[in-house]
Amino acid sequence: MEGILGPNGSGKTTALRIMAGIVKMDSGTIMIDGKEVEDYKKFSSTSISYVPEVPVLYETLTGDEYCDTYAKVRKDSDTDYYKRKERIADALSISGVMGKPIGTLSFGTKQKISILSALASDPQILILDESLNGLDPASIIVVKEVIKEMTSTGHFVIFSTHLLDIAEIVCQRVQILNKGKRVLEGNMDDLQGDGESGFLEKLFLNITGNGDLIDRARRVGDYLFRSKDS
Amino acid sequence: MKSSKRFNEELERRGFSTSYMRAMVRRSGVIYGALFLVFSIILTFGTVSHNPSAISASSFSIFLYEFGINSFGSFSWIQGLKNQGILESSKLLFPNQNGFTLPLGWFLNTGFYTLFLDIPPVVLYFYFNRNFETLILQMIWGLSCIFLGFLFGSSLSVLAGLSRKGGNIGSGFLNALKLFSLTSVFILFDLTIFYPSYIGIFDFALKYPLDFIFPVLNMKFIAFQPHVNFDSLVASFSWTLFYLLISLYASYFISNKILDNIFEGHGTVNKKKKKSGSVKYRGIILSLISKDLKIATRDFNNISTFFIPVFFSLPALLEVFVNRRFGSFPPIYTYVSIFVLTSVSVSFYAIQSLVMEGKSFINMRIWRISNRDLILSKTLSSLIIFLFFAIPVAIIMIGANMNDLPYLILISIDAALAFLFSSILTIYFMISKIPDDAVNINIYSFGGTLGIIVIFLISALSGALSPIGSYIIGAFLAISPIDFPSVFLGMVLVLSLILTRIGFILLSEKNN
Repeated sequence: MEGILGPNGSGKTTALRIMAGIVKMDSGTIMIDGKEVEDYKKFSSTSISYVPEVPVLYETLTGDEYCDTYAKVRKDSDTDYYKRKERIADALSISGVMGKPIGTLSFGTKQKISILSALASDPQILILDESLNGLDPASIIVVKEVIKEMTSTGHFVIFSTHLLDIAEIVCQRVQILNKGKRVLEGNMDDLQGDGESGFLEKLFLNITGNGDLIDRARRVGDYLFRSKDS
Repeated sequence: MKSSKRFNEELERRGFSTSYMRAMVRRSGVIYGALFLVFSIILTFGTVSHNPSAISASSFSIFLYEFGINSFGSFSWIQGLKNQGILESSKLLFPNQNGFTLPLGWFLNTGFYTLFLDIPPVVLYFYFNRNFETLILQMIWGLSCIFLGFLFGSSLSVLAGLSRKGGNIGSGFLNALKLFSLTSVFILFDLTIFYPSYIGIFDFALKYPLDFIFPVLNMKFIAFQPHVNFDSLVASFSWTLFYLLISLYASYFISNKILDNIFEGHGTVNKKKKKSGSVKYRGIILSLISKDLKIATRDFNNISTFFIPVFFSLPALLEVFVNRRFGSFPPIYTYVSIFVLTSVSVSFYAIQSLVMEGKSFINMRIWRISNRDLILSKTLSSLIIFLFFAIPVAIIMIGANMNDLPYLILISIDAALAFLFSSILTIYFMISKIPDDAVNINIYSFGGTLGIIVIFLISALSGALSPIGSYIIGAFLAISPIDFPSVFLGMVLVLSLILTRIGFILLSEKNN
């Protein structure tokens, strides 16, 4: 499980979309296990699932229809698709709404359907582009557990997020991007050092040039509220 | 309004103020009322300016439309309450409410504004006949039509709830019904304007007991005639009030059933038998076509846009149908009419099939659909929708023109092939205008206004290639399309097949 972190505009989404085969790259190569994939478009279409930050689904289709259409266009010979879809839908508490038009559902439920369609297709590589935004805490826990299970069974998950505490728990490796460039990468164990909790937040702020952000924020708070009291 | 970002933000800013919500509902109601008024003025004045005596027939059409729009509106309203769980928080309050809460709530917020439809015909009738009593009678009939519409729509909703608990509604079927009713109204108006002699078919004058069963059909004899004596006036008022009371009482009666339906349906687990096992892989193209057809038929805006080309050909179609000659027309005339419909349809369908993706176009990227598969699936789904509209049109035209069955087959195949080749070329051009990393499509994605003009030109020219080619070959061989229609249509078929084959070769080369 690899976490891609970075401030807004650092190039996370572009990098993830290139990896997913959605956006063509201007230069460079994509390598898996140190080897360049011959037909990356074909590989990405059958082996990679991408979940965007905002769920833009077909509003007039039902959740079931959306997921099934995705499964059908993937073309891989999957024998347990429906079983897997039902189990994940139950875990995300959306079984009861899968037969309703997506347009009538809330943002969070749409995001769950988007994640469900990606997970149910059992991809070799799952890319989540800040996809946990908008989910309720229970669903975040469910997705987290499913992801852990996926990675333990040989699947690879790439995950971009602003939720550093979640990244700290679930990721084995992280990369931090800033202004379109990778500024740090490493295993979580190596980065963690003395095992202090919240280390990722400090590391992130330092590496992105915001080491004094907390002090600055405190000063703004003091100016706005304490100055009024005195 | 609930899903509007602007509305939600404004509502949040105002602390979820109920007065703001109410004002917004009223504002949208007034806008709808104004639109209904304009719609009714255009139709009614259009009819009366041609044929003043057709006022009662055109009013009848308006009232019928009012009934239809309220049937659809109440059905959608109840489904909206049900699907979005809007009444869940006030569930406990409802046993204490009387049966008028729901129909009255619907009437005040939606149904009332359709009364604006009645104003132009009622005022015009008064202008021509100077009968005050008919003014009142007709407005009461307007109210009756609204509540009868509610009754019909809500009954349909209850029935849909009984037959498909927990499932989604057959919105494709409903949209087709809505479109059918709208088209029927336009046909009625076309008839009243251009063929007043056909208006006689609306003189129902139903006798007992049918006047009880189909009260709306008898409306013309009650509300649209001068009352010669006091007795007939009393009878008309009695009947009118009787129908209004019946519709109100029935709305009251059905209210509890509707509430049961709303609360039963929300939040229940989908009881549809769960599938198990592997996915049936029908292939990318078939899956995309199935998705496109669902999107096209479940959204009224989409289905009505697909219907526009047929709408254009409606006057020509009516002329063939109404002024049918007793004798055979040269089949080439039928072919030309169908060809015009095909050419207009290609550009409309090509644009709509892509534009209806909108922001959801990102799914095509996420699913890694190749441009070839995209072009092919859009072409074939458009062709299916086109055939759905064009085949009945072709059958009616060929039947009305007394052409033989072989011509029906030849002309239909020629039209389908022309549509296929022309669509491939048009959508190919459109896709080439969309950047590879675009995740959103709208009408301006194909090169702006100039792009749209080019799309229309490409579809018209590519569709015309085979008939023009056949005409030129025919001219060389001294074969007139009028005298030898089967030879001409056969040549068109061969050329269309060659062009379609070229289209598919072009597509296989664009496999990225």
